Amino acid sequence: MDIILEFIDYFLNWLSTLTFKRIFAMYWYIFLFTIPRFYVIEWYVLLMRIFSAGRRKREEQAALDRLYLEFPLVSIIAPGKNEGENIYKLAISLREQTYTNYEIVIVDDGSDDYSSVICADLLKNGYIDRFYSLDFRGGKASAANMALYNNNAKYVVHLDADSSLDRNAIEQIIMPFYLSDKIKAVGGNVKVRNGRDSLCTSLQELEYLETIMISRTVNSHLGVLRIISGAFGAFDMQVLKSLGGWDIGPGLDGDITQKIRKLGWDVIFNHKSICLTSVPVKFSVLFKQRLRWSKSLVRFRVRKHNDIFNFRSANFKFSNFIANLDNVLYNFVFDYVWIYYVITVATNNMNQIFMIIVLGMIVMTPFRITSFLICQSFSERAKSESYLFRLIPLQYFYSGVFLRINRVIAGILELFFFSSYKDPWNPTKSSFQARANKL
Amino acid sequence: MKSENNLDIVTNAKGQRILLIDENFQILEHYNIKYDEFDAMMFLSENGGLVATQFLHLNPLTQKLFYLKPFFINPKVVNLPFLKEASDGLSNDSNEPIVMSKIQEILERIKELNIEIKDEELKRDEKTILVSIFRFFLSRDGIPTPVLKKCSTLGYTIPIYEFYSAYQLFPFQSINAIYREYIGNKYIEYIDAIDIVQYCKYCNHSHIIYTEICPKCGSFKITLQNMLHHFVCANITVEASYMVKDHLICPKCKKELHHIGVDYDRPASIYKCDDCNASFTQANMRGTCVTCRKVSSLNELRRVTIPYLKFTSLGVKEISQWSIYESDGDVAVCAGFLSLNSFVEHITKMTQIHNLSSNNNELTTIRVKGISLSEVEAVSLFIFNNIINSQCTFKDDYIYIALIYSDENSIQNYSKLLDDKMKKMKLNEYVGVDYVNYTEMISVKNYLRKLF
Repeated sequence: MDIILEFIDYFLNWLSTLTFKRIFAMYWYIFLFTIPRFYVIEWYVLLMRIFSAGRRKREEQAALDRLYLEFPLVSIIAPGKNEGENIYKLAISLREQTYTNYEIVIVDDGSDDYSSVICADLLKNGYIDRFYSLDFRGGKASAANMALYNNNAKYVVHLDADSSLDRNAIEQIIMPFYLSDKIKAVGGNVKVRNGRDSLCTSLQELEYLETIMISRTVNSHLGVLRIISGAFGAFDMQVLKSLGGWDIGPGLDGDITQKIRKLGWDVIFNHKSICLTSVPVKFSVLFKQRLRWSKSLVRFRVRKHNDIFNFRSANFKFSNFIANLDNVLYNFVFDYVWIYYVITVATNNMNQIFMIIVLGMIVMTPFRITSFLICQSFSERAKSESYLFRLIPLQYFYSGVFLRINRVIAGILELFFFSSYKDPWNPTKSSFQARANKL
Repeated sequence: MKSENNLDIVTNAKGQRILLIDENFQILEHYNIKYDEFDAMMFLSENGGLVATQFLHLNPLTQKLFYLKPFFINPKVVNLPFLKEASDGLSNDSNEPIVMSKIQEILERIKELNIEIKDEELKRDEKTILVSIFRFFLSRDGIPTPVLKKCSTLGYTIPIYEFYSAYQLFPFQSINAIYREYIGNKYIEYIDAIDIVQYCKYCNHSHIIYTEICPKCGSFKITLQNMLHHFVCANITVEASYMVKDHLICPKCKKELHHIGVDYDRPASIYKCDDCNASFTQANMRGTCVTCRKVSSLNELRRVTIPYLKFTSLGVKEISQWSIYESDGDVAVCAGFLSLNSFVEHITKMTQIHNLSSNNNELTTIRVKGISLSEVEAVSLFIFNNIINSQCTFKDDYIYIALIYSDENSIQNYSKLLDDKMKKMKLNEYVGVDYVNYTEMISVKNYLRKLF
């Protein structure tokens, strides 16, 4: 107890010695990059949304009416390998949907278990509408493209096989197409199903709430949404077919969104369209998953779609430029800046590093609490997610350190070693050709 | 060379005496023929019908003088169903090496098995013929084996059975029951399946036309297309969409595909229905019975295993010594009559067929004929779980037993109970005629009257 009191006393004394200049020198990264981007802009946008909530509600209701008036066929596709057992659960959850004019298309991407037998049985018993079994694994993109073959639906909903949907999820993800003719892709709100399984999953649940539900709502409002999640996204069939479907991954969801944006169409996010998915239970598995995601950022945004940064390009569009710039800066460049920041602060204040961390946490805590409260106000299952509040202190280490280090490593691996082409997520034959063709 | 009995017997290079049976051969002219006078027979006629008739009188199964003797048929013989396969060879040359070695092989085998013939063994009832057939095959170191036959309704047949059945000497329909009994007694054993055949559920015929159909609309107008996957751009569509003259050009990225496995592969073949436009990787199958023209889905067809059997050492001993016959009290005495086991097998089969084509629990009526009135009275004592006593009625010397079968188990239970009961009452001879419903009862009754 004495030690704590002693520390508090020492800490307060240390605080009294700090000048504004010194505080800025210690926390310049937070003041310049973190707070303006993740809090000020987001809060401002969300405030604007509150003011326009009534109008938006009327527009959404009118769009919903138009949707049911037309009642188009929606093709729900779920490509995957060895996902037989998940397909049944998915089919069951889809049977509960409020929107009923849909077909379920399952593509088995060369499974080496009993998936194809299970799916054939589900097809026979009417749980799914179409089932294609590929003899050789071709990767997620080709499996998804297979689902587009002979598909005459008006909209396509792409799902991960281990997802399940809220009852009105299909209705909510299709509804935005009727808000504007310019909208050709809609992102769904992916939440964590197994949040209480471990600390790792709980932290991801909190992360998903902030980075998907809130951030994408904000990005969508600003017109700079840059990704329609592969786990749950809807596309206009005509546009999708005109693009030839998905390109080879990883990161094919971000890639297809980018391509749709380049064509001049709008992509938006609807947080009311909820999909639950399972996330990695162990940090080691999570680390690998995030390495893959982060590598795709370099591969697609920095290399493949670098024409977005070219002002002279025929495809240049300011919103695309901003969307990509934001992504590249905050998920790639600034991570290296952060490394520099940490090193300089640590070397200059070696004997005070502990105090600096504590003060940093104290400074950030009101922002993080406010963010959490915003998540609660947005969420339809706020009560069940309220337990995440206690994880706020751990966010500093999870988002601030763990994920950041992950992105730094991924960036180096991809930038210098092209390691995404060696990722077993794609079959070697496809990765080899993608590398050879600089895709 | 003519023998003392004016028989045309030739002696070949190995000293084997072969009775030549030409078109003019008349068995009645040779009433004093002796068993030891020749070693084998050779049917020289090319006329199948004539050979079949001659064989009936000179056959090595029911005729004492020709018992188990090797026989050969003219290779040029025409119109001789079943018998060709059952013969020991096709030849008209007694000096042909294969003929000589075959005769020697058979004679040695008969000697080895020490098979002796008794007069009472040559009755023409179902079991004696079967045991004779078994002995015949034992002497050839074989077993009656089902073979594919174009004209067989079941697809497979055992030629020698078909031959005797064609002359009403052999009740083909009871063979399964006898086999089951022999397997139970460990005379023969199941070795392997020759085939698994699907039969029409309505008429039990195997001549079925299989057609691939659309699982959605049932149309047979479906076409199979290869899907082609281009690795670079992940495009996957039908091969035809890639074809530009003689080249494969990707419709998505416009690149040319050069090398399978390097640039592209064919991961699937997809059916497309011309009628409903559905696409699918697995087509459904339907079977159209050529005989009754009824259509069934694949899982509705009856699957029957065609077994490959083998005599056990016990079976070889019992069959050689004929004790297989003596130990069995369950034998019908008149040609065309079914034994109890055959009858049970028969009604079981018929009920299964009946149940397949109608609802379970539907009333199935079996007619059973007692040999004497006292026995008929005894039959009336049958009151089992699945027999409704109130449905039993007497008319003349027939008994009508109405059965309700709900599943296969109850049929088996019934068979067992019936078997035990019959044995207890020492009732061995019964005839199961057919299953009939009440409207058919009268006509069957008249038919039975004529029959008995």
